[in-house]
Parts: sequence; C-alpha cells; structure tokens
Amino acid sequence: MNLAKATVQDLKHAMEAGETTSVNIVKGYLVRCEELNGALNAFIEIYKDEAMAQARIWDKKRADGEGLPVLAGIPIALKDNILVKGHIASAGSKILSEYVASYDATVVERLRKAGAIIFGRTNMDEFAMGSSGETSAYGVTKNAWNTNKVPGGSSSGSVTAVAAGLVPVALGSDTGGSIREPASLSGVVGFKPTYGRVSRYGLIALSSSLDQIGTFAHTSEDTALIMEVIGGRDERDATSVEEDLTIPELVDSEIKGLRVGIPKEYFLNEMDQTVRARVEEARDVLVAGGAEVIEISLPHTEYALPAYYVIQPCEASSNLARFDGIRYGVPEEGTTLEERYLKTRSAQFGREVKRRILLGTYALSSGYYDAYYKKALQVRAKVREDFDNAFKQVDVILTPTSPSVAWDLGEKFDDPVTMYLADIYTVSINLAGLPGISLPCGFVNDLPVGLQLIGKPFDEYTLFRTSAYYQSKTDWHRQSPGLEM
Amino acid sequence: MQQEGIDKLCALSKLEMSEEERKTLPGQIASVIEYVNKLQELDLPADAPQMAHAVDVVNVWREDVAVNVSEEDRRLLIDAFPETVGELNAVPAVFGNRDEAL
Repeated sequence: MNLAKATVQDLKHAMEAGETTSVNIVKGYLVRCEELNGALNAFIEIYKDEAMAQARIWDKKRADGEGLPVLAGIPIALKDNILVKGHIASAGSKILSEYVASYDATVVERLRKAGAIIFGRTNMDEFAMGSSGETSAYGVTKNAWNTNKVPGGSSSGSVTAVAAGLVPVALGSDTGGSIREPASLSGVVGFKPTYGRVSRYGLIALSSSLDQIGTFAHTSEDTALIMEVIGGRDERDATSVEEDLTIPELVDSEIKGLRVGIPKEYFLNEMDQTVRARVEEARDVLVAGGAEVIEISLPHTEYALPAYYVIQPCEASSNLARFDGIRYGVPEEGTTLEERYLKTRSAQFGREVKRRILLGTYALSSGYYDAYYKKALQVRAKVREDFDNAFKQVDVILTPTSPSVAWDLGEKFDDPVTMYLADIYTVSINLAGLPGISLPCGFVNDLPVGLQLIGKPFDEYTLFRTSAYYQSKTDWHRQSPGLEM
Repeated sequence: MQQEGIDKLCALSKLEMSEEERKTLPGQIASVIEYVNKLQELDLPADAPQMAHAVDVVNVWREDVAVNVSEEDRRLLIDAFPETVGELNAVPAVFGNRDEAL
C-alpha cells in the first residue's frame, strides 16, 4: 500500500482486512525514512529494533485472534520534548544531548496502552523556541514540499515526518502555535487541544501556562482518534481536567446552522492577499454546507503577541533555570558552583534560548515587573474576555493559521521580531487556553496554506466535526509533496 | 539597551556572552523590548484582572512517605545525573575553591 498519504484509519482497515501487517507497515515507513530522512532531517533518532519488535507482538496478537486496542500496530512519532523511558529526550538542545528519560510521559503511557508503536523522536526548535525549525542543535529540518523552505516550528520534525509520509501521525507541543503554524506551512492537519485537556506530565516545559501536547495527522478523523487516546485527567498534572472527550462518529458530519465567526482584526487590508483568498474560499465551502458567517470583533488582538512575548519568555526563563550542569546538562569545567552554571549554560544553550532567557529575566526584574509581566497578564485576561464574548454569538472562529506560506531557510533567522510575527494568528488561542486546528486549504506558489478553526474551551468536537465536513468537500489534505519513491 | 544592563541580565540569568553574541544579542533584545512596549499603549486600571492560567489550578497532595522504586528506575535516575560520586549526584563546592569547601 502507498504509505505517503496513508491515514491511521487506512492502516487499521488494511490490517483488519488482512491486506497488510504491522511489520510490513513499520518496514515500509523505515524504508521511506532511509530514503528521505537524510535530506529532510525530520527524525533525530528512529527506534528501529523496538518498533519492529512491537510490530511483531501486535501481529501475533492479531493472528491469535486477541481483542486489540484502538491503535494496535500503528507507528507514531514524538517530538523530542516528550519523555520515553530509556531514550534520550533532548528538546532539540545540546544541554540535554545525553539526558536519558527515566519514565514515560503520560501521553506515551496512554499511546502504548492503546497499542501504538513509538517510532522515533523528531527534531524541533531548541526547547520549542522557534517558528521555523532552524534553532535545533541537531540541524535544520526541511519543508517536505520544498527543501529550500522552512517547515515551520517549533514541532518541525513531527510536521515534516507526517507531511513526507515517514509516519501516519505524530505528536507535537503547542505553546504559541508550534503545532498549528508548521501544520499550515507543511500542509497537514495540526491540532492544539484546550489547555488542560492533555496531561503535560513528561513534557519538557517551555511555558507551563501555555504548553499543550497535540497532534499532526492527515485527517480530522485521525486527529480525533489520537486525542481520545491521549486526553483526560492525570493526577500527575494539576492543570489537567476531567472533561468528557468522547467523540461521536465524524463520517457524514453536517454543519447546517453552524455559526462561524470571522474576526475583523485577523483580516486586515495589509495581509497577504493570496493567503486571504485561500482562507475565504475555505469559508465559502462552509457557507455552501449551510454554515452562517458572522463578523465578530476581538478588540485586543493587536496586544496579544506583545503579551505573549512577555509571558512566554518569563515562564521560560524560570523553567530553564533547572538546566544548570548539576541536575541536567553535560557539565562544563568549573571549580565553583557559579562557574559551573555559567560555563554549562553559556556553552550549551543556543542563541534563541539565550535571547528568551534574557528577555524573561528583564521583564521579571525589579522595577519592570508591573510594566511587563503584570500588564501582560492583564492583557491576557482581556484576550480571553474577547473570546468569551465572541463565543456568545458563534460556535467556531475561522482565521488564517499563518500570515504567509513557508519562507526561505535562513530568511528570518537573525531577526527575532519578524520571526515572532509568524505566530500572530496563533498565540491568542494559547493565551486564552482554547482549542485550535489548522487544516490544509490550498496552495500559493506551490506551498501549502492553512486555515485555522478556533473552538470554545473543551468543545473539540465542534472543531473535529467542522474539519471533517470541510475535508469531505475538499482534497487539499490528499495532495502529496511529490516525494513518492 | 546599554552594555551595563545586558551584563546585569546575564549575571541574573547565569549566562555569559561570547564576543560574537556581544555584537548581536543586545540589539536583538532591544528590538523585542521595543516591540512588546506596545503593551504600554493600552490603558488599563492598575487593578484590572490578571490571568496567569487558563484553568483553575488545584495543588495535588500526597502523603510524605518514601516509596520503593524498581532497580531499573533507580538506575535510570542515577545515570541521569550529569556527574556522580558512587551513586550520589556530585555538586561542586558552593563557596570558594574546592579544597576549602572539603
């Protein structure tokens, strides 16, 4: 079977019908990785032997007629900030190049229980700080559609692994757009759940009040399937909540009467008109299905990105204090504690990480706290209030995911503010703690464009239903980047 | 941003800058600060509500009792220490030079 665009549902059906086995599927993806990963740099490490051993176990259980869990024999890739017991978790940083996790993240436990095969760890911007996949200590990840372009970040390897058909699904993490923005730039479905939906236990923290684990897939059905497995309350993460996550059948989803909000602040005259056109065409597909479009206002939108780039560096500077060469890190020589800290951190953190630690330290330092951190938290409350008001009138909000298609490698690397602007449509959703999904909605200059749908807190189902309807009427998600072997 | 300010931030952050970083980082950080200064344009009352978290966070408590871990888990934890003396995590002297501290 052609694995390039295979979905989890395709693979499940093929195994159930006896047309293939998990061993064949894993072998098939390994061949694709062998051929393509060198050029794309999506995976830092592939767990070849373990994946094959797992596949054989699931094939045996299937042959023996045992009842199988929902993801039995399906390979999945993990962003390298998600802990897998006995494997390195580097977070894309040199400082964790030798760190071996001593436990499985909750999402890994749940995936294993559901029968999924942990296929490998994917490249990422260092500590998830980046929008382009260029800040990793393990080299730049390339866009599957054009290897001269960035794949988006920070979940750069996970997105490229799915876009290039190296795995059918992958997990990433999204703090300000790190799943949705790369999904948009690389032409796959990227989903960030409501904050609190998925346990962050075993996720290396960037910004604890914003981080959420989510998925990359080709379809909304696969997204919902993985979400049902990984979501739900976990005692080990105080921010995870007990909310029902049963997702009804998505096939034949209808959207008649769905109220779709279009925020005027996201469709400004100066925006890229080609991207805008693709997103408006997507809106029209929903209208043709009976959705009602309502113009809404999210008045504090312009303050969301500045607030984000205060809150996130503040939390990051605090979270990254633990990487000191004592508890974590490959220690550099130093006779005193102070010297060890300085030398280890200075030698092993990359430039973007240093920038954000310094920024966060600045914003939290005496005399600046009220003007920056406190003000940003106040703006955050306003951003959430804007969404709460909007959701009194509408069921979902439709926006572009990213202001542009993928840009050239290196283009924005030394200009942080320009790089940060790539997240302008995604960060508000993290600040407000809402669920958001990015769907492929067409092309500009042969590069994918993404449509973002934003939902009410814990109403993932409406997002999946709307996405399933949209995907049933379009075939953008079936287009392939031409890496067929 | 003045060099003095950057030096202070570096000290607080436990970071040293290389010669090359000294040329580029201060300007880049200043450009981000200039960007986030947009927050000051928005006039909000001093007591406007603040939102630190999207969900109500309730601390999770457990009994303060020692629990056994498997030998495998214990090994993984010890092996994860950057530097060890026997099975202990080695830490450089906090004060002065190593000899004095010992």
